Amino acid sequence: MTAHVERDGSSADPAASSRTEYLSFRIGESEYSVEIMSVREIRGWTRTTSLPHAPNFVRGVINLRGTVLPVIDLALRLGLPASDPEDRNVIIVVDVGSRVMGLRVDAVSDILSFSRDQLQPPPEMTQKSRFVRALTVLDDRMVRLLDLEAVLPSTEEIAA
Amino acid sequence: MMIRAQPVKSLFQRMSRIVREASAAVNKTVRLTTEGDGTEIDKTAIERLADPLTHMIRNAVDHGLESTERRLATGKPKTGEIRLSAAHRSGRVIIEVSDDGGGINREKVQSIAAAKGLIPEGATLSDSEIDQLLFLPGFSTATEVSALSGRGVGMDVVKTQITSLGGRVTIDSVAGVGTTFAISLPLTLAVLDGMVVTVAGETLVIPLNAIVETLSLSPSDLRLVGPGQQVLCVREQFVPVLDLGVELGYRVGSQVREGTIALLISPEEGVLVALLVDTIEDQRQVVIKGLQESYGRVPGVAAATILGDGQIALILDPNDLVQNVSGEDRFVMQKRAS
Repeated sequence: MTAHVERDGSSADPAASSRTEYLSFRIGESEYSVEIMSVREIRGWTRTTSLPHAPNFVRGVINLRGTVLPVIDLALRLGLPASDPEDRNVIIVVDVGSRVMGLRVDAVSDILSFSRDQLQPPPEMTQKSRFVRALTVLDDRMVRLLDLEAVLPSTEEIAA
Repeated sequence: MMIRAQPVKSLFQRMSRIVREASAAVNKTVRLTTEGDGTEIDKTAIERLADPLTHMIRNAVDHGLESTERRLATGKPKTGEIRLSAAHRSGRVIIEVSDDGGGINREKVQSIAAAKGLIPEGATLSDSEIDQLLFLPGFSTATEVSALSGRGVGMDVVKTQITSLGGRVTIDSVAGVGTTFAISLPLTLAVLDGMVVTVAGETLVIPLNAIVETLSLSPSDLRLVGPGQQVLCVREQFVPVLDLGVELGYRVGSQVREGTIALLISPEEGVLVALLVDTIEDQRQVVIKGLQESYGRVPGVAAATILGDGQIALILDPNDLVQNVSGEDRFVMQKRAS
């Protein structure tokens, strides 16, 4: 957080000092977001090569400028009904730790900026919501903030 | 890519000279046999393998093989055998140097290591731990410096050089029978001759060296021997059939049409397995892209490659595929699918 304080230090509003930017996107009717610093790039939908014996949420792999990039269908990963792949779908390439993966979403909507006190922890943790780290309200819409560490499957999950 | 990938033949040919020189220096008769010298690896890897391999060959001649008198005394043929082989195996290149000498004298190795202060006196070590002592800096079994050895700059340098290529060295030694040093290199830079096939609309690459023969089938060629288990009769030999589309989960239920292609592969000497594919597209060299680093291990898949149209195709590991089928894994897979 110190980095943010320094960068926004000139700002007059002290609340702005802890603001972080998020990339928001849509899956079905729901709006989700991830921290923008973990997003490497956003790509249009390309046909994936499916992997044998992979969990259902793993769409397959694509060619990202000569490297093999695994793509996860975020809707299936979050336990939402699958949406048909279409040309308007996008792949958000995220970089978490040392792992780079693609997330298939319906559409990217906006870049949002929240301060930390605008975020609320999700009520009543259930198994399905372990991917959601926080919730926030923006113009009467609920925006879910995803925990990318949990969203990206572990090696054990893939092998299972 | 043709230039980057080269067969190890040139490297192996250089080694025959090393064997000649080394065997003349120590007065032993040695025969070098090479295997798989058509295996292609990255050009830079070939260049950087020359030094460690030279060292390992010299070691095999000098330390590995016994003296002629000793060989005759133990009932072995006078001529010592050194075998140099290369092969693609489970997504890696394996280069092996083996001799039919006396094996590693583990007691001697341990006492020397203890005398040099590399391990504590009286330590209890397993055989493989003792073998690993050979890779310690400063270790040498030679009591005096000769033209070939005794300088103590030895296997530790070999290990460092192999490790810098991303590889591993392992030792397998049986007393009285011989020693095998195996270098295992990753395939990340390697190139592979592959058969490009399609199965249920998916493009796959099968290593060409795994394919023994291709056949065009008609549905009547296949016979059912048990639930879901088909065999194919090839020249009066029954060969188990594996439908790749079903095996990889691309479709349910085997569909054999007129003109379905069967690729005969031989995972082990004398064993044949037929893989069913829809069509053969092409035969070409493909650049191997690792899949394990970015995703994880996929059963039956060695790596991936990028085709001319930018699409990714999976490179199959036929041996792994067959193993998963014949073993218990297959049973588990079927249970989960049902």
